Amino acid sequence: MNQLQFFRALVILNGAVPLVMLMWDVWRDQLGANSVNHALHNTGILSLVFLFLSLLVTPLRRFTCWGGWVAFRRALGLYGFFYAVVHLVIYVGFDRALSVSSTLHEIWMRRFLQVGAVAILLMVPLAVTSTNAMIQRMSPKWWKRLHRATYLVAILGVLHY
Amino acid sequence: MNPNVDHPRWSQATEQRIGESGRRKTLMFNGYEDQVADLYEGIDLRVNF
Repeated sequence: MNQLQFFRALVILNGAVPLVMLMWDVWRDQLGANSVNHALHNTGILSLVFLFLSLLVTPLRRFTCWGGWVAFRRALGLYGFFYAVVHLVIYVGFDRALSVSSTLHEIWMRRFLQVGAVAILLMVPLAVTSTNAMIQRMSPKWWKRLHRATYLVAILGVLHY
Repeated sequence: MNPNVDHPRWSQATEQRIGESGRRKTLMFNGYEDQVADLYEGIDLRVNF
């Protein structure tokens, strides 16, 4: 394994650490009085953190004159998507007790949930086109343009908060 | 609690009791509707929540 692969493996491993910590807290019933809210809050922040880190790659590249950061960008971005999905699953599963109609009703009624819904929906094509195969299939110009949507997703994520 | 009037960020129709998992339907005035409803007579509960 070369150095970049090692560091990327490190990123992937460490990205899962918050989830493991959360699950540990669930197991030990250490989520506090309002457990659902606490888990939602945590996963939401985690999603934003990983998105932000993935966006940090470009300026880091320029600042350090090292292209290697790019090797971690996809893992960071996908973790942003991952924690957003966990966030949504917790919301639908626990806050809405698996009621799709209740979820849709809440999204309809609350602006901040509409913003969140758009943000996560926008992340789906980003996640789907993140594979090597997809990158090769798409023209570099369009892939780059599509993935600029990450900035929008991050902004929407903050507004949703 | 009034299940019919929403909190600005969420619906109050269901609630979760601390220590329990799973949600339950919110009872009007937390179940004391019979005893307490006449205290709120004539008040618009959407304004005075």
